[in-house]
Amino acid sequence: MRAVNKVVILGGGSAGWMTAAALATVLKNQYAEIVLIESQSIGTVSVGEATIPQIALFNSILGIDENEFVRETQATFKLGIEFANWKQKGHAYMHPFGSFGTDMDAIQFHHYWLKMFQQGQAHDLDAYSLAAVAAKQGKFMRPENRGNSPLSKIAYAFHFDATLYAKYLRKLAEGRGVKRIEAKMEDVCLRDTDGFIDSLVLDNGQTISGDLFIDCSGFNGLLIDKTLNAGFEDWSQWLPCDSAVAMPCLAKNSVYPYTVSTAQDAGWTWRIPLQHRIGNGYVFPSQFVDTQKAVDVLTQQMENEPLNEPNILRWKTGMRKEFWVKNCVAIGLSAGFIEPLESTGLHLIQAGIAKLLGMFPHQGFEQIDIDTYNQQTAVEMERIRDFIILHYKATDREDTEFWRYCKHMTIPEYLQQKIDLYKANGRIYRQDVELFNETSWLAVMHGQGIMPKGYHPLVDTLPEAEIHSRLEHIKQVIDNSANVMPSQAAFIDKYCKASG
Amino acid sequence: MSDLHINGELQQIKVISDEHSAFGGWFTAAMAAFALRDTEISISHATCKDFTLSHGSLTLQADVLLALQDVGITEQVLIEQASATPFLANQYIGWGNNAHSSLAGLAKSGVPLNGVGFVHYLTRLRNETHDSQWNIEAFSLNTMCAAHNTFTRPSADPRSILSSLEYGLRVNAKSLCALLKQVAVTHGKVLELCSSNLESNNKDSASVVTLDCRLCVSVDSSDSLPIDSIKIVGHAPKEASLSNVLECLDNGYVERQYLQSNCYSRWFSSSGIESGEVLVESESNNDSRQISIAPLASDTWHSDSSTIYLFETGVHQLLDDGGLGYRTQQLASLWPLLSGARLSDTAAKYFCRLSAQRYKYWRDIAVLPMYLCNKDNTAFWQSAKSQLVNDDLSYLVNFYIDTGVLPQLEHYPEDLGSLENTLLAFEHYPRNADPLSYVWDLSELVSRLDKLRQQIKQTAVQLPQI
Amino acid sequence: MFKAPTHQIKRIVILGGGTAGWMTAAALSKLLNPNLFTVTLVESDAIGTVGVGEATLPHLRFFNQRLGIDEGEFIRATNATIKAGIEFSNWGNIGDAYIHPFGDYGEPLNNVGFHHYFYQAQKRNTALSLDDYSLPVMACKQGKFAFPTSEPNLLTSTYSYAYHIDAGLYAKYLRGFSEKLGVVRVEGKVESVAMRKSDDSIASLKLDNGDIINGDFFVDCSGFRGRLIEQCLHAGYEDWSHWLPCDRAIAVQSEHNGKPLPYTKAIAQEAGWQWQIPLKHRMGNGYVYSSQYISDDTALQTLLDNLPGKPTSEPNRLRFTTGKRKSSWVKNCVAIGLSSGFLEPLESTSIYLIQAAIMKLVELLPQRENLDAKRSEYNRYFSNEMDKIRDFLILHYHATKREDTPFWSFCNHLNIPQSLAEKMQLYKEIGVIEDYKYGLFLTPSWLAVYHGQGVTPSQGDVRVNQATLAHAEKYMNLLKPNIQRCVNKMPTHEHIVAMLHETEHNNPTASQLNRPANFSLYGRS
Repeated sequence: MRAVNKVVILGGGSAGWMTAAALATVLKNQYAEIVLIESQSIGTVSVGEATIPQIALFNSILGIDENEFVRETQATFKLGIEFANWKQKGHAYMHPFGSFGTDMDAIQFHHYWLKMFQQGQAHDLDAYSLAAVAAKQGKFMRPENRGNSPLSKIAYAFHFDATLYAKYLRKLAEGRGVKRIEAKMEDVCLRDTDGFIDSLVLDNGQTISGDLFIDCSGFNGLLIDKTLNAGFEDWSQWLPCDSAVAMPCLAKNSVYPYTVSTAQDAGWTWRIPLQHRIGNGYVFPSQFVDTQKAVDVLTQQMENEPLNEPNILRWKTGMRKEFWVKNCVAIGLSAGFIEPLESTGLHLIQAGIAKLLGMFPHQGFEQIDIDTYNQQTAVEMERIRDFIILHYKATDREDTEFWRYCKHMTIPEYLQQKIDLYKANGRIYRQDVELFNETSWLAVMHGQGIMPKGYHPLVDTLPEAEIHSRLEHIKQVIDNSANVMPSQAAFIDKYCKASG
Repeated sequence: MSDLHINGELQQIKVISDEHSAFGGWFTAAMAAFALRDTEISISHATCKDFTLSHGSLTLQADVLLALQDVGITEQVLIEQASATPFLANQYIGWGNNAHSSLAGLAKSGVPLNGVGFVHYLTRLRNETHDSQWNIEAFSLNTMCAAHNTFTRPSADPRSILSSLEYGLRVNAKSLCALLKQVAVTHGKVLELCSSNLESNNKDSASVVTLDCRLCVSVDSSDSLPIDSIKIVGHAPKEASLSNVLECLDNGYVERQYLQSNCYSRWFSSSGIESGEVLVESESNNDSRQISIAPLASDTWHSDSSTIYLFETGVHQLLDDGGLGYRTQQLASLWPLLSGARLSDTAAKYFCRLSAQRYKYWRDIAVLPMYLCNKDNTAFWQSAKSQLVNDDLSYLVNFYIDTGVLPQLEHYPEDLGSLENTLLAFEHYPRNADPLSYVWDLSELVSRLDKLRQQIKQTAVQLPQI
Repeated sequence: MFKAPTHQIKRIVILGGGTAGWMTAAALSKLLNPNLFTVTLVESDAIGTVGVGEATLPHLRFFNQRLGIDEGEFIRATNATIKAGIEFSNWGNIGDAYIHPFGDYGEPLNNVGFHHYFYQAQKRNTALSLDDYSLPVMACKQGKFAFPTSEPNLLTSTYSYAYHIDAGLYAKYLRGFSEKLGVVRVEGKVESVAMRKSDDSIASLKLDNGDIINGDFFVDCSGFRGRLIEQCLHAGYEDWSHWLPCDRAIAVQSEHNGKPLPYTKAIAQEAGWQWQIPLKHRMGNGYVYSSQYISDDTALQTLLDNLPGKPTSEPNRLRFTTGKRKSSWVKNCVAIGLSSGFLEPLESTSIYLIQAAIMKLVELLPQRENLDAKRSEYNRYFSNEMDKIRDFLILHYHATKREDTPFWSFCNHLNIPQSLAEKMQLYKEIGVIEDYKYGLFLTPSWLAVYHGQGVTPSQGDVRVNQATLAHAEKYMNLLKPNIQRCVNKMPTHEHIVAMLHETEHNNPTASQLNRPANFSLYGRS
């Protein structure tokens, strides 16, 4: 007898509908009935308006037509994130998708570049990334098969309206058999024998029983925490931002294919361009900035009048001690929260779904499956956390109390090692299930002003002139490639312009 | 061993009373003389005033009337020699903030239907029709007769509606006291002493048991009352009534009991009684007296002593039967515990436990109207309620309001019909009708209850006027 | 965070058939409006029921009458015989025997208990026997029975009666009764129970066949284990085995040895006691014993050696821990029957306790707004009921002179509960029986056991003197032959039983059935 004949998802929003759509596609209705409970009276938190390239995989599993998806969600393309004022005021760098340069003789590109850069013989790092260069020029195209050209390796993600995305996925999921119930949950029933969730009691009088429950109820974690007491690991000592204010506005000029993150006196603001508007937000530590001040700062810096009243969000950064307890898996904010600095929100949902599908219970709930899921998720979240902390820790800024705190805080051991390793000889390694690769670490460590003392010794086997010429060549190829790319606006007009 | 005494040598019962407890003393002596026929009963008065002094009126209910009947003081005797009149209900006036008047009958109101208490049906009707005209008063022959001033003796036939009537008697306390003295003297070997030296003649042995019925004065009691004095005033009645009328005043209350040709008002108040207030009743005669409220305490019997304290307490003074109901129960429990040669420690402990329990009930009954009072526009009543908070009573009242059921507390009597009537008279209707009361639909319930109401009213109206 | 249910209590679910389950189902379906309440009973044919309570108390008549059950039909349906008391033998001492009757001894005279006069009279005339002053005792001794009358002035109204029944047949009868009134019976075993997070109350039962039974209120009649009250709601158990050490029983049916007696027998044995319950067609037998003092095999052998006739069933073994559930009502679940506690059937209290629980539940049937208040009152009531019966049972073991076996030695020297110790002390010293206002066994029962097991007061009531005693003796001299005359006129129990099981229309006993019963052990109250 199979353990799961019915899956109940509590909560709509991105997490709920991504899970519903994925399960409906992969499990199909013959395997298990899928029910999603949501209430229109509970607002959803639209954290993830910007994404990272892994979303493409998710979309392809769902068999989504990308152009249709872009149209329906008012999406634009994203080639990276520009971080302004992070290293110091007035400084900016790009964290682009895709790689820098190309590796030579099995040695990573950045070692060659480092040697030359340290000698003042190389351009800054961004010049060797097609994504960075194209982004700054407002160019975009999807990769095309052009042999060794960087044009065949363009990595991109999207900026989109998460509410529209959820709506889009809902249509898709319902089309694939997911049953949606409009109701609020009032109570949970637990099985006395093993403490598993038996059923949810809804305010419409219905009681919905199930075998597997996905908690997509948001920060509160109604099932995973309020019911099953998973507990919470607080990370606010390293990531003190605990609030955000969000306000959209109309775009002033044509939109660029990248997210902008601008460091403020405390916290940072985002600018996420969509087809029909710009998403603006200010992530701030309430300990240093009061909400009204945050609203004022954001309003001042926006390029246009706000379209809505400010939407205020509060959270505690950290993660559940367990993400899967008994027959309940937390996906989305119920599993934990990391600020959207690197647009990881939707990715974590997607990763949770992928792992759940990987460990899907067979004849019973096996504790070893659950333990493995929890271990992997914890590591994954901690690595992302470390990468985010890096942005705050590696800074020259000491102009405000907030930045002084960040610069001098002690950081997780893993991150410290990673920085030390880079500082010594510019080495970067990616571990296990770590999301961010060497390119990302390099972009941010360099962008935030960490300069290694040395570089890989084998670099010295190549004559400096040779290195120099290769670097110049790479830059040339990138510039040429960028030149042939269409503007994002033209690209969208051609393929995927949203109606209205 | 005297051959008269089979079970040890209980030679003498010595009853001690004083001017404030002559009544309790003579009642105790009379009951002792009857129960312990061959035992010498002496009654000592702590002061040498009029031993038969007692005052005002008393409202006697079944238990006491039965005990009196046992000693030969029958209803007929009470009517002829103690001005007795029948008593059916209490009328409460002004216990809410508004002019509020309601009757609480002596007998259980309504009739259980399908084994479910009547009040549940009434509650359901009130809740569903939002009509407070459905009132418990209309479902009691006691209250309807009291309202129409009609009376007859109840029928013994359980099928007759007249079997639902219960009555008590209001008697002249002074006359009853004289009757009790007569009983004591006739039945027992009563030795009447006037002595301030109460310790004498008591040294010989434990075969003398002392029942100390004096006014309780020096007891430390954590339980206290918001009132401190009672003034009893006799006067001509305005009109005859089958009810005792309890009227709420700004700083206390007055209770009027109607005898054959006169009426006694008992004024309960804090900080003394203003003469002006007393004179509300115009033709007050000089038969008037004021006493202080005694402390509250339960009867005690220390296991190393042959003295048993059956004090006259504030509870006795407050009760409209002068505490005789309480005393009757206590004495009935006491006689079997008096062994002769050696008083039993176990018995003493048992008596104390029993007394403490029973005291709680009588105390609750004595303060009930004050506890339930809804008046809160004077300083007296604002503070009175908080002073009367009591675990058992509040449990009982709250439970009743929540459920319509009176909990069965070990020390409360089984039949709490009159207590329930009092709660309802103070508008403490249950919030929820019992689920079992939903056996009929509303229209059928209305018609059944209406029929019962008509029947009771017609019966009451047709009975002879007093 | 989570919201407790706000809708009214409408769906009542009873877990477990058996006597407790079906008595509850019958009462609720009879007394509740079927348009407003549903009653569902879940039971599994695979789980056996424990039929300990084959001897009943007079209260059962009150219960049946409240449900409108015809007495004749009930008697025929349950193979019943009449029970007018219990005979205890070998309890106070080996060779002793007495009957605990459903009635009083004599009458109080001048407010003084009859026993006070009796003991004084016995001092002068040692041949006097207390039994002679109890009509039911004398009738039992002679195997006679007649239905009591209701005229309060007649001797024939001074006793009550109960039945010996086949509890399995009673449950079956009530099942038919309940199903006709709309009770839905669901076959299945509980696999798991869903508990509401908001208030830890029970939401539904999941059965092994996949069915889900939702309910607002649950009655746990699942027996000893307390599937809901203990396993889900952790009510806790107060263990009384240090006072009542019997922890096992073996039950076996046998043939009659002759005519069915109108009383139960409780015969003290080496490490416990043996019951004999006569039904119309067979005898129910059992041995309740303490495993600490006797092996299972020896106990079985003792039982088989002492059967009144050939065994007609395989022995059925039971294990239990005497005690009570700390709260028999927790959240939205009330335990009725063995799930609320276990007291050995020495005084046939099992079915009485079920009935008392049901009647209190019916009186306090909760609504959402008053569930908590009703629950605490119910628990107070039921706990008191159990405590008092416990004391009365302990009395049987403790009031003994037996020291012949380690078991009886233990009982003899038992450290009894304070409440019982004080009560016994009071009686021993001055012959006063502290009466309960609420509780099953009142003065006549305590007197029967005290007297029957040799506990006598050392002093009597001072009101007994030459004059009153002479008066009492006169009364006794009239009462004894009066009782004997009454008994002589009674038909034999065997005859009555035969008549009761006749179904002919003009059955002469029919007119004597269905007389109003009161909620008391002792006839007129």
